[in-house]
Amino acid sequence: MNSPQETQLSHDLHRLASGQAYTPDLAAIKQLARQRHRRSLMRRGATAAGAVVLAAGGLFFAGHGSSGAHGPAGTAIGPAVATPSSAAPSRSATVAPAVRMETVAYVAKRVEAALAGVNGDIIRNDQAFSGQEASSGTNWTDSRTGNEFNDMTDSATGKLHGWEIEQVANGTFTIKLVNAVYSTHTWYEVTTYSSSHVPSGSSSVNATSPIMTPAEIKTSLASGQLKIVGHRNINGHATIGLRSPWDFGYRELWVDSQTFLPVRVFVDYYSDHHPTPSQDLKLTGNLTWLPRTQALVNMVNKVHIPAGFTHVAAP
Amino acid sequence: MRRTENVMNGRDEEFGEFMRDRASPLHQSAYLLCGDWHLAHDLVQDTLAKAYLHWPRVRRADSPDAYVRRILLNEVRGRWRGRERTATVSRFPEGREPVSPDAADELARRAGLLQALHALPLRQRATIVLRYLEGMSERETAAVLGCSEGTVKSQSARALGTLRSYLDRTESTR
Repeated sequence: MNSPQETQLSHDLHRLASGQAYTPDLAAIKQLARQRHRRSLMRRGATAAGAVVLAAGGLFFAGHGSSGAHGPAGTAIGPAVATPSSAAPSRSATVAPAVRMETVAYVAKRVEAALAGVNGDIIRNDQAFSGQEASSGTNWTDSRTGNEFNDMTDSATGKLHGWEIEQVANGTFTIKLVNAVYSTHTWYEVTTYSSSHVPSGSSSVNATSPIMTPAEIKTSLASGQLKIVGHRNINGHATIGLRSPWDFGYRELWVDSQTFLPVRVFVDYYSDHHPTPSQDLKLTGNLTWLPRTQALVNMVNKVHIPAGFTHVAAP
Repeated sequence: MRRTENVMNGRDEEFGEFMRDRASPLHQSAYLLCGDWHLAHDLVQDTLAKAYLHWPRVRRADSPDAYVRRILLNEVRGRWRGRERTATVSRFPEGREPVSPDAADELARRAGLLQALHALPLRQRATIVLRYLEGMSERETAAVLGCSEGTVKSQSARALGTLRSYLDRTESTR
């Protein structure tokens, strides 16, 4: 503090700001954290295939950064998903036996190859939360532009259509959210993120995602935490499951054992922390990789406000 | 399962201690940044919720306090883009103030400060709050704002320039 004026300024600011006491409640903070996290998942389509693409892409780097010696194939580490599937993938005679080949590194390499072959697919993710605040929705992600369209319904908001449009203008990256709320016949728009204004290392929009991000996968792999947890038949696909622990339970990515494209994301959310079953949130997202048609491209990349909806300020 | 439970309990204890220590200063900063006690309350709640979600990352930061202050600033920035941009600035602090003539002058002067503060761009306002409420150094302020010390200096200078009428009034009443 230099001048008398600055000293007085400091004094006055302290006086101004000392008007009210504040005593936070940890339980309330935790409840808000859960709500916020869950809302973020639904709104951002954090279970969206776009995130899965990132996650699976991360497998590539993780796999190449490791020796690949991460335990035997199909190692089961928990009862929830360790059931060996009776519908194990049937492989052609030219493919090496799964038991010998399916290390994490092997699966990672195959996933990387599969994703390299994806040519602008639109990825549909049918996602559902189970638990006290059950909700469901469908998210479409354009793997070429990164834009998303969400069609969701939950008990708090009702039916909602939302678009997330990524934009770069004058060197600034932003994500524009446009939500159309059917219960009120209103729509609003808000720019949620601008990388040029968010300090490095601060919490970003992706930070709440339960999906295994590339960095997390790499860390998990390096520490031996990323595991192959077994095989399942999911929506007609023979799949291989990868599991990673995280702060609020664990996350799984199930990939088709033939195409090696992700077909399911599963998150057991707060699974171990809250013993009450009604609070035991689980998130399941089923992924479908759709050919790029003009209709799907328009649906995802162009905002279509329903007729008669009124523009309002963002809540 | 039990290991995870223990981890979560440890997290709650650690976060709870941080929260009890830092919540009030955050609340005060939030008030000066947004000008409304109720909004400040919401902002701090949201900030702490976010910090709780990312606590493993926050606690590993060089300065968890600086990290959480960055979250708070992002929260303020987010609100400022929306309807809170039009939120009214409190006319006077809501504390229990004396009402003598001298005190009334003092109240009016500080109310003027609050209004002048809110005429500043958010970054300049944050600089003022961090430097003169929190008593942070230019380096610490730069760390929170995610900019260089030079930027902090220039932002401070501009902000103080804008607050000149308040500062001049301070000088004349001394």
